[in-house]
Amino acid sequence: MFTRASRKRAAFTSHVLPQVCAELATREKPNVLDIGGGVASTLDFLSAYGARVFFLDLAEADHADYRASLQAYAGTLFDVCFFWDYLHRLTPGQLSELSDALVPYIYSDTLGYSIFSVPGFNDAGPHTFRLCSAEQLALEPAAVKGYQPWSYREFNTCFDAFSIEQDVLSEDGYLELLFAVE
Amino acid sequence: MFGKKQQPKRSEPVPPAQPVNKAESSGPLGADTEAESHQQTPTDRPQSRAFERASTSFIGEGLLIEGTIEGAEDMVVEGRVVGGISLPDHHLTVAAAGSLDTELLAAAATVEGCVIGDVRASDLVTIAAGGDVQGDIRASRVALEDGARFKGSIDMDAGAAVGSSLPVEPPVDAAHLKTA
Repeated sequence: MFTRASRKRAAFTSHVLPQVCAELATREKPNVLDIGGGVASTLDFLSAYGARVFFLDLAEADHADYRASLQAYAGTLFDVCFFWDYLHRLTPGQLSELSDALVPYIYSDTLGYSIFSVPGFNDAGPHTFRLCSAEQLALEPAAVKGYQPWSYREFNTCFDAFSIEQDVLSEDGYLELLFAVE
Repeated sequence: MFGKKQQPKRSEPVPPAQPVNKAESSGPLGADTEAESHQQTPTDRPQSRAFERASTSFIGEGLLIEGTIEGAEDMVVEGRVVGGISLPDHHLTVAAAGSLDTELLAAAATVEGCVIGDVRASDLVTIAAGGDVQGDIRASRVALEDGARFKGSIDMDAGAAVGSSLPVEPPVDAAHLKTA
């Protein structure tokens, strides 16, 4: 049913992002957390929603102190969190620490988004993601170590600030996850 | 499930807001717009290099300034400033060799070097390729070029009241000028 994708690809059409963007459009001046360094196209796209964008490059440190990294934004509540494939670069302990650290920063209706290549369907590994439109991402392979996609059970156990609301596996082996709090 | 903590709920739903159509927007966003806004016509191009220098202050490479700088003309920083820079009606350029460990306020700012601190601008903030900003940016327009490094939050508020001064140290005097 699914075929292995080539190692590099430039664009990805999302089936989940349109829902996230539709939700963003209903919120006034939403706060958006992007786990990653500042990316021009992502910023440009999100600015059309009047979003305040928080780029938090947690991948910079091998053992990120999530609470300390988020402390600078104490009092901020994120409407949407873009995790990209960062969650799949963490150990179970780190995943749990990040989940706990995020709890003070999310609403009861905050959404989370993750996308990653699923070994066996797509062995492209980790990527850098750029948000181009409500349904289009640009992907570039990223050289990071420790990439380990998690099962739903591991997510539910270690990342319990959120639960998986929707999942879509694309034909070319990318799994998109939509997270909800409640 | 899993004993989740209770998350705060919104007090009231907000009315739907439509995203701005980028193509129709007169605003921000993107290198194309920025490039267009920077195109000079023969009539607005400086008449000479001397004219250009006369309206721009330079902090040269090798200078370290500790304190607050307030100015009423454009400024180029090639050295290091620790304190604050306030140019509410003018353009600040942090050159590739320059670094600011400070909060800065300007009408517009271009960062080719390093800034550690918050940036406020009434118009455009550009982080050029090779530029590095660690802090929060509040400006009506922000452009990140490919190769720029940014860590912090970006609040693009077209109606941002930037103010005219920074809550920082007293203005610098010559005694504080040091050679790095």
